[in-house]
Parts: sequence; C-alpha cells; structure tokens
Amino acid sequence: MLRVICNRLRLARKHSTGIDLILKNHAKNCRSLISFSSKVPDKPTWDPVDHDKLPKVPEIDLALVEQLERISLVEFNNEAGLLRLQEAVKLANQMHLVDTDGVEPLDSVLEDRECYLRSDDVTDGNCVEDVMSNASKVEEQYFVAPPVSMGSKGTVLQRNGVTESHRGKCHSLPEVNNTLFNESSSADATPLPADSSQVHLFPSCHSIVNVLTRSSLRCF
Amino acid sequence: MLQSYNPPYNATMVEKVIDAGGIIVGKANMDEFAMGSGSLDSCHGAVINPWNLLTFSCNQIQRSDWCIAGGSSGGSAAAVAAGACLAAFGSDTGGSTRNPASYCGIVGLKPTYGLLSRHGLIPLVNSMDVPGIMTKTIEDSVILLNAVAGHDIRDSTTVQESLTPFTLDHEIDLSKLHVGIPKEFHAPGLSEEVVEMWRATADHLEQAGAKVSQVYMPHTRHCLICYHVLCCCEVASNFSRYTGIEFGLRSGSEESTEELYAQNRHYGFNDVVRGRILAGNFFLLRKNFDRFFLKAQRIRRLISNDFKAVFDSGVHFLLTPTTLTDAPSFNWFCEKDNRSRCAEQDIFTTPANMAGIPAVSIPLRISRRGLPLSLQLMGPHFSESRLLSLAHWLEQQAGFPHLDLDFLDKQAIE
Repeated sequence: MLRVICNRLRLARKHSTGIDLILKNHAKNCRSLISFSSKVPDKPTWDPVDHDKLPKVPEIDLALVEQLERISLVEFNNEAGLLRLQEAVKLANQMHLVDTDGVEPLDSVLEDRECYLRSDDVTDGNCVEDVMSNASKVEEQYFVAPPVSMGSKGTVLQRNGVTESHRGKCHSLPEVNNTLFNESSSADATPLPADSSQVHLFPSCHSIVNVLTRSSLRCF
Repeated sequence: MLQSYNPPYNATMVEKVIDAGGIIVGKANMDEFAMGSGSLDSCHGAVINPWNLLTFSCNQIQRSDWCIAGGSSGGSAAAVAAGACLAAFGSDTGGSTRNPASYCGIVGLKPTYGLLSRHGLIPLVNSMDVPGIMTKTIEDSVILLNAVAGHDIRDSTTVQESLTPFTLDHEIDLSKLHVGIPKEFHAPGLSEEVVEMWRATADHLEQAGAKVSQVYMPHTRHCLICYHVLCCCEVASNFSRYTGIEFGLRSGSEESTEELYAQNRHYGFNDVVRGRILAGNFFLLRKNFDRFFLKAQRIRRLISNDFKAVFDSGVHFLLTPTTLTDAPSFNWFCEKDNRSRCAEQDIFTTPANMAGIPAVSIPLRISRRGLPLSLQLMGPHFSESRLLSLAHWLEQQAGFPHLDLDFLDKQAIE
C-alpha cells in the first residue's frame, strides 16, 4: 500500500508546491503505516574549533615578509595584507588537531590510474602569431623583457638550491635596452646565442619564477 | 590581469559543445580567478541573484539589501536561472559550481575528476579543478555531460576509458538503493529550514523504499582547512605564470624584470588573489612544507578514505545540504572578508573535490524568504548515470518552481 501511495505522490506532483506539500498531504497516512526515525541528526554533531587550544601562530617578521614578497613577486601592500596572512596561517593551524601519523600524503585522486602520455611527436605548431597575439611588447618574433635587476630585490637568485650571482653578466645593448629571447614557432623558447652584444638570462620567464616558488607539486 | 586577453584557442569543452551543435552565447561574470563564494570580487562588479527581481525592480536592487548569487561561478548560475541561456559552464574546485547553483535554484553538477577535460580551463588547483555544468534540469545536464565528457589527449588527467553516453533511468528502483546521511554534515550554522528539508527528503526516500542510514565520516569536518592550505599552495605555483610578458597586464616599470613582474602582479591581481599567493608560498617554505603542505595532503587522504569506507560498506549515494542557508544578503556577506566567507560557504562542497567524486546540487524547495533551497547528492567515482537518475527522481518528486521572469517582458510592453 505504501508503494501505491508513493506512486500516487509521483503522479500527483504540482509545480508550485514542492516536496513540502507532498509530505504534508500524505504524511499522516505514511507515518501511520511505518514508524521510523529520521536519519538526519537533530543538532550539529561538532563544535567550531577553540583557537586557544591550537599551537601559536608563527611570528611573521620583516625578514619573512621580504622573503615572501621576493618569492611571490607580489607585495603585501599594507597592514591588511599582513593580517590576511596571519589569519590564513591561524586557520591552517587547525590541521594540527588531526592525527595523521602513518598516513601517506595524497597528491592526486588518480594515483591508482596510469595517466595518458602522448608520444613525442610534433602534432601542433606553426602558430607564432597566435602565441604572440596577447603580448604587449614584441619585437619581430621576440617577447621583450627588461633585464634582471642588480638591486635589492634581485641581487641573488636561488635556482634549485644553487646560488647564482648574475653580477657582471648583465649588460644592456647600446641600441636596445631590453633583454630579448626568442620564441620559436614550435613554442619551445630557446636562448639567443651568447655574443658580446646581446645577453639573455633565461629562456622563459616561467622557469625562473617557478623555481623561486619552490613547489614540489606535480604539474598536470 | 587578463582583461585584455583574447584566447587564441577554444577550451576542449567549448569545442565539443560547438561540434555537437551548441551555440555559445557569451561569457559570464565570476569571482576573480575563481577565488570566492559570492561572485562579488570581480573587476566587472558583483553578480546579482536574479531571484531579487521577484522582490525589487531593476532600479531598486542596488539600493536594497539584495541577495548574492553565490560563487565563484555566479554569473553562469544567474544566467541559467534567469533564462538567458539553457546551460552554462562553470568551474568547481571547492564548490564553485554547486554553491551558486544552490543559491540561484538550478542544477549544478561537478562530475568525477578526470571525466571532463581541463584543457583551456585556467588552473586554480590542478588536483581538484573540474569543469562544472549548470542547467535548469537534470535532463539538460545529462545532455551536456554526454556531449563533453571523455578523454582528451591535451589533458593527461582525463581517463582513457571510452565513455558511453547514457540516458536517465526513469524507472529507478529505490528498493535497491542505499542512501547515506553523513552526520558530520549537520554542521554549526546550518539553518533550520535546510535541516528540515534535508530531513524531509531523507524520510521521503525511505518511505519510497530506499534504505537510508546515518554514516560516519569523521574527517570531513576538517575539509575546509585542508582545502584552504592545498588551494593556496597550488595557487602559488600556478599563478607564477602571470608575469605580463607573454600575455596579461603589463603596466609596471621597465627597469628590471622583478619590478615589472611585481607591479604587473600588483595591479593585475586583487587582494584575495595576492593573499592566497603569499599564503601559499608561506606554507611551501622549507621550514613549513611538512607541517602545512604535507599535513594537508595527509588529511586529504583521510577524507578520501572516509568516502571509500562508506561506499565500500554498501552505501550507494550520500545526501547532504549544499549550503548552510538560502542565498545570503549582500550586506551580511560583506561583514566578513572573502577568506572567512569561503571557509563558511564551502563547508559541504569541498569534500567531493578532495576525493574527486561526482556531486550534484538540486533545487527542491523555496525558503521563507522566497529563495531557492537545494540539497546535494554525492556518489562514487564515475557513477554519474546512477547518481543523476536518483537526482532526477528527487527533482520530479519536488517539482521545484523555477524562476520565471516573463513578467518583466510584460511590464516592458506595458
């Protein structure tokens, strides 16, 4: 009989009422036939975390601020930016309440699968104009970038743990004051030949900034 | 950062829609770089929930305490809800498709990670990003899913098994279904209306013959903090590509690369984006890497294991709320910052992204404030056909009154 009632419920639906009216009209009949308790908890089953019980938020001093600004190449901008970081760390601190002893980190939900790797064949290319189309400054088929600074923000670059000083290696062209690097039609950036008149420091802007972020994340 | 960017290629999902005969009518507004749960942090302005038009006229809305559309894909949800288009894509990294779908009273589907191609989707968190599908009905979402799902050689994280397009089971046998109610999803702040709807729906499923039981998923309550750390870390890496050299805003000093990059990124990113980059690089510092980043990845495994344990125990699907309440008002939402609101609003949606499982938000009821209320169904990996069949059944049972703005046309004529 319950199934008959439920079938009638399905046929008798009205657009303006929703599930509320369906139950209101037939709840009495259904409940008289079967008694059950709702599986939805009546009250919240956990409380918000008490931040006083958490480890203290690590201090964010000026040296750390400068280091983060250098790595991120964005600025905190103001006190609000610093407060934002402090709040982010405070929120993250809650993780320390969770016991993760013996648990392996999870990089990817596809870890049990073999991801597709295409064969190393050229299947695309000859699209220089498309690749260059969104760049603000181009010269012939070059992206144009200013030289790496020798000032306080860029004196020393860390690349994979090895310190490289570019002092003495960076000088400008007499007629073009920018560092040029070549974007070929195959979309693989290749460095210019190192001669006395042109200097480039890196084939691609991506590689310098990426190593600076020190991420060990797998790139999908 | 990308205001003047003109993509030289189509995303695979877009290409597939066009190949299937779909017509792309436009692009929608959203939170900047998909960071937000209100669609208020955009350089183009805020997205206004079209349900406001039932209460306010167009001229009155911005002077009133209007309701938000949710985010970050709020523009897409608003467009579908208002009838401006039949369907829209969003992105779903922590619930950015399901959250605005819930607030705007439409279907928001986050498929299994690896089912849809991410080629052309600007990466936020590579290990969690999934293109989202927004439609008014479950049937429409199935049409779109069948058209766009499947392996893409340009995205190596798409699964290689060929996908057979499926149709909904209109004669679903509920007696063969076991629906779980995770008790941790009755979280602090959940409104009474949503609890009542959740209870009514669970009870209705049980009355209709399904087995419904409470399940225990102890680590899902930590999902948000885990998501917060992993998101910031992957953002710090992914956003290093925005330098202004090959594309993007270029407005800084040309004295040095560092100055140029720093100024481009200062003017090109809002506070929210900059904040996540800085926080991510903090968590990735050598001294913090294990304590924060690896810790978050370990918690992620615990959350994923919670889902595996529940589905291995015989539960087919999980029924939970999508959001804590109906669509909040703009004034209330702005009392706290973006990060705090994300930490509240994404509480029920982030678990599915952690585990990579499919999840769908379905509108079922109208709240006392006259706004949509939705629930979420989640299932095991690649269970979309059965998941959406059950969602369709619920949708038919509820008969949710979709937003009808035809009266605006009549007003205009008069």
